[in-house]
Amino acid sequence: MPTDARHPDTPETPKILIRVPVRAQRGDVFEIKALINHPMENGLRYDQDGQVIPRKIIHRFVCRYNGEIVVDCDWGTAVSANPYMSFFAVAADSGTFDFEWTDDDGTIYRHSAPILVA
Amino acid sequence: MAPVDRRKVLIGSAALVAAGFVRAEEPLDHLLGEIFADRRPRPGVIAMKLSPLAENGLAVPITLSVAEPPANVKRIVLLAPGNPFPRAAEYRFGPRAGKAEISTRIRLARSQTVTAVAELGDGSLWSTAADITITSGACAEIYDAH
Amino acid sequence: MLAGAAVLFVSAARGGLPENWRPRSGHDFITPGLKDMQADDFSNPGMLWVSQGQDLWNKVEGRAGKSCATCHGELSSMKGIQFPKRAADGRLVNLELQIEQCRTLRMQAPALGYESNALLALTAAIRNQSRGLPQSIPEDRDAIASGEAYFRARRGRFNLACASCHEQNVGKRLRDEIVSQGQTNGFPTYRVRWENLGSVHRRFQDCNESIGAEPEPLGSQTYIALEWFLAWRGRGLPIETPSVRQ
Repeated sequence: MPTDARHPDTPETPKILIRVPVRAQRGDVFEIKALINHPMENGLRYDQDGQVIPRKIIHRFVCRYNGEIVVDCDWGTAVSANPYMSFFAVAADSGTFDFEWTDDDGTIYRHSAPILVA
Repeated sequence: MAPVDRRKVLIGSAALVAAGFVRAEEPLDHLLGEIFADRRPRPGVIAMKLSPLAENGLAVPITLSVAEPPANVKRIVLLAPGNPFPRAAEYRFGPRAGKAEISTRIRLARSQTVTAVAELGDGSLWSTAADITITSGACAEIYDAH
Repeated sequence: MLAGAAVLFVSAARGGLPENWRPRSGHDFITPGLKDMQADDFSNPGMLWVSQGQDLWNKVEGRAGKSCATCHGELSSMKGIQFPKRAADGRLVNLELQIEQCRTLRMQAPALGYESNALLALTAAIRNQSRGLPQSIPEDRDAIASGEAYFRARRGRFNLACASCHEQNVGKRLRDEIVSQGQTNGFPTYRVRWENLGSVHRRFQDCNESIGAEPEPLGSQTYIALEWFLAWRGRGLPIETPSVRQ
C-alpha cells in the first residue's frame, strides 16, 4: 500500500490487478483492465499536524505489447486514487503485455502478462 | 500505529473545493490556447460518457471514445476546468491499440463542464463536453466542507 | 427466541420497525456507477487489499517463524467463519482483534495496528472468502442487546440515534444521498470518500462525528457489540466484502 499520512505502512510495490485475456485470435480487439493501488496525493491535503502532504501521483501510464505501444497516458491529479483504466488492444503475435506506471518520485511500477495468439 | 484523528485531517475533496473557491474556474478557451495555440476544436467525432450527477466527485467514471481508427488519433486531451489542476489527462494510442477508447475514474472538485478534445492525424481538433453536478453525500462528516 | 423477544420489546418501546421491514444491503441504495465499480474484481479497488491480504496470509513474520498459513492452512479455509465472537473470558472479539491476537501471541510478531493497510488487507482477504454466503452470527443475547441499545440511544449535538436514520428514514434523501439501512455485510468496504479500504469501526466513528457525537475507540467493546447487533440484524444478507460505497 502506498505512503499516506494515515497509512504509513508501505510495501515495496503497490498491488496491481490486470485483466488481459490469456489467449486470443489474431486480429481480435479485446479490452484490458488495469488497477493499481496508489493514493494519487494531489498536494492539497493536510496531515494531522496541519502540514500539507506533498503531491505524489503516478503521472504516466504506458502499456506495450511485444514492445509496441498500446496506450501512453499522462495523468494529472484529477485521476482518482487507486487509478483504474480500461482500454483496447488488437491481437497480433503471442507474447507479453508490459505495463509501466511512473511515480512522481521516479519509481516505475511494472507488471507483465502473457498472451497466446492463434 | 496511532488511530486516525480525523478531526485534524481534511480530505482532498474539501481542500479541492476550497482551492476552487479561491480562484475562478479557468476559462476553457484559455486552457485550449495553452495546449493548441490558435487552433480550436469543432464538436463531433469524440463522445463522452459521464453521469450528470455524482455524489462526492472523488471517483467519477468516464468513458471517451473516438469514431476513428486509433491509428488516426494522435491524442485525447481531457480537461476539467473547475478543478485546481484542469489538465486532467492525455491519452495517446500506439500501433497495438484496438480502439481509440478509454474508460477511467476521475476526481472532479465541483460541478462543471468536463471537456475532451481529440486531435486527429491530420491535425484537426474535435471536442465533446458534458455537464456534471457534484452534490454532497448524506453524512456531514466533520472534514466534509461541502 | 429470547433475543428476538428482547428486540421486539426494545423496538416497541422506541416506536417499532417500519412496516414491511426486511434487511436490504447497502448495495440496493448506491448509484449504478458504484455498482459497476463493485461488480468487477479488476475495477473494485477493494480487491487490491484482498490481493495484498493473500500475500500477507502466507508471509512468515515474528519470532515464532510462522505465517497465518502455518496454523490455518489455505486462506480458503476461512470461508464461513463468523465474527464477532465471545472469548473464554467473556470479552467480545472481532476479526481485527483476533488477527492481532494471533500475530502478537502466536506469531510473536508486532501488532499491525487497527486501520493499518496491512490489517485491512488481511481482514478483507479473510472475509472475502465468504463473499456470496448469507451473513450469519450466533444469537448471543447480551451482545445483541448491548449493541441494539447503542443503536437506539440518542446522542450527540443533533440528538440522533442510529435508528433515526437507518431505520426510520431508510430510502429517503438526506442531502442528495439516499439513506440506507446501515448494514455491514460489505465490510471492510472501499468507501470512495476515504479513497481507501476501511473497517466498520471507522465507519461507526464517521457516523458518530456526523451527528456531533463523541466516537468510541476503534476496537472498543461498545463498537464490537454494535457490530454483533448489526450482523444479527442483517442476517441472511449476502456478504459482499469488499463492497464499494460512497
